[in-house]
Amino acid sequence: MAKKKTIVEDIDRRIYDIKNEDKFNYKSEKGLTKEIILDISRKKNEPGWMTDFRLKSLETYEAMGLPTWGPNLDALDMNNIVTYVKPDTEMKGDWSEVPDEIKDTFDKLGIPKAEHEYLAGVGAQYDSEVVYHSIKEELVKQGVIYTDMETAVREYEDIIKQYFMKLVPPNDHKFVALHGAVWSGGSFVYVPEGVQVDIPLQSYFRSNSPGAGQFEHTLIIVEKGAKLHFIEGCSAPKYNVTNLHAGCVELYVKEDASLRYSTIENWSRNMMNLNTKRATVDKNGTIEWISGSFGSKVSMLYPMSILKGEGAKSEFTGISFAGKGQVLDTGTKVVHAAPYTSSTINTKSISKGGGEAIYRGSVKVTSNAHHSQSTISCESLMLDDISRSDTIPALDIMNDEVTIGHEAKIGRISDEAIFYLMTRGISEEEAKAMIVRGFAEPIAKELPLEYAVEMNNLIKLELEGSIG
Amino acid sequence: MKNNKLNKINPIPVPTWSWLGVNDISIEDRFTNENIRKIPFSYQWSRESDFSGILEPMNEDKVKNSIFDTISYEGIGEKVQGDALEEYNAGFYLETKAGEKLQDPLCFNLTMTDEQSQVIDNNVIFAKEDSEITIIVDYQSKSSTKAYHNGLTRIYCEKGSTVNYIIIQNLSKESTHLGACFAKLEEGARVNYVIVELGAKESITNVRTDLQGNQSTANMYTVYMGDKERIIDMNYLMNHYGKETKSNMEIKGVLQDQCNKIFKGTLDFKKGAVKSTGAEEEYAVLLSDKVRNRSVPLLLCTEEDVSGQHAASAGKIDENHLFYLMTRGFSEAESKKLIIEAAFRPIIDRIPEENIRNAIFEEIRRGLSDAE
Amino acid sequence: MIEKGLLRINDLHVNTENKEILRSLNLTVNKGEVHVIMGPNGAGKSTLMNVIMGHPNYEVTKGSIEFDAEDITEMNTDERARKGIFLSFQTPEEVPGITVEGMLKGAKFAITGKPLKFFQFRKDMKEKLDLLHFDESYAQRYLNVGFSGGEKKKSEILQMMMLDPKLAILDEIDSGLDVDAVRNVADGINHFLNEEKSLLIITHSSKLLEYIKPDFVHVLTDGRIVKTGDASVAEEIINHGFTEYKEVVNS
Repeated sequence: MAKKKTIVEDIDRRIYDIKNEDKFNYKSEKGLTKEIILDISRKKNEPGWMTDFRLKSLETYEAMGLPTWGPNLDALDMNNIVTYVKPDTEMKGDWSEVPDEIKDTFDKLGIPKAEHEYLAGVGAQYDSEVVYHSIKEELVKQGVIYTDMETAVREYEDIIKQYFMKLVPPNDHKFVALHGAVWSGGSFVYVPEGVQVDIPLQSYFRSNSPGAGQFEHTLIIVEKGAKLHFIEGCSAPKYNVTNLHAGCVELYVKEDASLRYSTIENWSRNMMNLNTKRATVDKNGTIEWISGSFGSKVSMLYPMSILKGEGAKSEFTGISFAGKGQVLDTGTKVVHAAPYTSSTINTKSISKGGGEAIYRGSVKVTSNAHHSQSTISCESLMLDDISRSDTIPALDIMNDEVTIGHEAKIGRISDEAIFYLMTRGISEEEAKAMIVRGFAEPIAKELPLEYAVEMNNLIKLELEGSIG
Repeated sequence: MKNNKLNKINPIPVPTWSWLGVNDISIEDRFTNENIRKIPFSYQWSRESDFSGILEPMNEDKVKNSIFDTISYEGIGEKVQGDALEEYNAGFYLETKAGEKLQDPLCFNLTMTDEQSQVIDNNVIFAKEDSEITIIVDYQSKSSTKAYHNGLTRIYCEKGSTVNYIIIQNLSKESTHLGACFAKLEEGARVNYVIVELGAKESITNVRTDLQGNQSTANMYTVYMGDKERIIDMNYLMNHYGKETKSNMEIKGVLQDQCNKIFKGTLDFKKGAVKSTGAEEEYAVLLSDKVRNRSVPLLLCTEEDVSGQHAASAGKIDENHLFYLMTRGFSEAESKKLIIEAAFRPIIDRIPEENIRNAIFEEIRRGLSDAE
Repeated sequence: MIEKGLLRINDLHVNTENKEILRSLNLTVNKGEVHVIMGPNGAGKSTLMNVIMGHPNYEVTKGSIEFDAEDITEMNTDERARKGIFLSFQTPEEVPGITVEGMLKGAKFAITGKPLKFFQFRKDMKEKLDLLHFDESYAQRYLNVGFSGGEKKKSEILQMMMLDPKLAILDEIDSGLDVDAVRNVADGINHFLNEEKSLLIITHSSKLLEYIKPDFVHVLTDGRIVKTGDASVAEEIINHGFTEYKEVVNS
């Protein structure tokens, strides 16, 4: 008897696939020229140093080559990408003033509801510009700043000048240089010394325009002893043309401060997601990354933690789900650059339907970082034999007073575990779904609740066949 | 005298960030084909042996148009591989007799001297069906000699055969060691490598095993000792093609002074390698804060029904072990030696020649004597 | 009424990996009876347990298994469980990410087909955890992950009690347990037992039999039941081993 396989379904993308008409106030020409950049800068009414910064980044971009490793980026043709799409609205502080169509999209994504229920502030970006921003009054009173980057460049110019693209310089790699040239939108958060923001802030990035790029810049500074949880969500409807996301996130975690940065990335499968995220952590500070990668055609995403103060800590928790046509090359980088620093990396990946899930990571311990500790664990689950799953970690240790442990495992759903659950009366399909959900559970429980529910919904099963 | 560079040799199967410096390595090409002379062919059986296969000096012409022609193996790099195939001055061709299982090892000793400082050996081992053989190749050099060694070994294991291949490398601290080894396994065949790396200024090695036949097995046991400013670059690859194939890598080493070591170990499960398992474990003891210890354990997979895992750990000697031995009256230095010896012993004990085992332990103790 | 037998195994032949493990095995377990199966290693005890539960690696080449007057030989594992058979594993699987409680809720729902009354479920579970001297926190832990040998066995008994089957098959439930744990497990089993429930126990030792009195003891060697008797058979084997039965087979 030929055994049929139980199929794990694709992610239900209906909500994300809602397309709005491509209405805009202004759209740049396709491709990338000095004129386009000057145009963007002019439209944004930026200070001269920022215009210069953009132009210099463009030079860097042109001088740099594509990465010599990682996924194939042939689908990306920069001459066909529209780098700037200004939606047909200004930024609002009240949802009722946001144009209906845009508001509707965010409604369906549950943003205003979440804002009402459990967020202390919300930013919503539509294509290249932020269309809505709000923050609870009590946080403002404590000196917390949460606004869009454009406003920040104007109103907090000194701070921005001091921090903007200092942690991720434009010459870091080609797509960061691109970002430096055409960045638009994003959020700026400043948490003053000692202020504990217990309720999360959330920025949501929605890309609607076909063939466009989104290049938001997120800059967060958490001062000494302060605390913040920031959530970032992203999605886009599917188009037949390639969209590009090359955002940049810079996080400054000061002494004794802590920051939790959660991301749920659910881009459509025409998106090239080439994102750069980096945190620097001072003495006894903590950065926690929670990273869920579900969407996009190609992702290259490796949030990096630089532990530069004694006793600094980083935790990275990541999950990726690569389905048909997807190459999710994700992971993390950690640099232990001070004594007594510690890092924990915990990743899970699931691949199915021909999808490729790649964990790529590196942990570096510099020669002065004695008494550093790092624990790395990577697990991959293959749901069929047409998919691919690779683990590409690297350890670079330059001090002997360290404790470093790395573990990785690859495999499939255990037949014995399925049998065990079936002896309890649970059907095979449900048993498999339970095991896959269980595999993802340690990560899911770190996600904000509604995202955790969403992730569990991802793992649905079609009813068919027996074990094997 | 030419002074060329060997650029970007010994690449990993899948590259990653170039700033890590692990994708490949570049070194001086110290090979000069000026005073290269044939090295007399010599070997010995450790005990009386009734070997009835073929054992003769290497002749590349004989290998042409044989099963070895079907092998596409790049070795450490094009130039190095080319030298090994064309400029070799040593090496053996070994063909076992089907069904003949020999327990006693066949030993080759290649000692490099000032007069004979360059050795390129090109070896072939052809294990016929259901045969078994153990080979020990011991590369040594006079401590004053600046030796150059480039070795290539190709192994083909027919159905059910077993090859135990043991390599000991103890060249002087100014020497270059380039070692490439490839094995292809038919159904139920087995290769067991034991590699002991004790010397050379730069030691670049590449070992690839294609587990082609169903139920074939490959085991790899390596110990290394890295000191001074040595560069150790190990690149091991297990390709699982057949069903129910098994591979296992166990790598243990100690690093001191300013030694720079890179271990690249790859388990690659190809589509169709159902029910295969692969495991890789690396453990590095670090004895100085000037060492550089890099590890890149890759796990590549395009088959669902497999199980692969790797683990790597690094750190100082366990303080509790050290304390325990010191309460028994051993000095700290002596305790460290004992702990390292104990860690290496299970691997070194796989070498079936007592005098070679003793020499290795002696060398390790000598190497560790400078350590505080 | 004629007692038809809750579990009836008729002339069962079972292969795994092309090797015949069970050859012409017959066994009937009636409602309310406690049966013990003993036998040397490799006799086919675990095969029997697995095949009753429909493990896909075992192939029935001849004969049949009936449960509750229905032929279940070809039935899927989960259906058998829903009909009222429970198997306690010798080495229970560790399933990360699923809590004990979560799994039990899923299973209970699958078996009863009715929505769970959560409050009642919690109460029941608490009662059973207490009886087993099992800390409540275990219900929230991942299924068997990081459990000690004894905890795994208790977890199996907890599941049995919660799922309330008609027939429980206990595969070496007492192996590797200390005296206290055996008593806890036995308490759980006795709590479960009544004239409506049946038990099929595989054991190597007398420990559990101090608490649970079998009605029948079967000796399984070489894929067949070679002797059936009362509790005294178990005593004899524990004292003298299986030598005598090997001769039975060979003669």
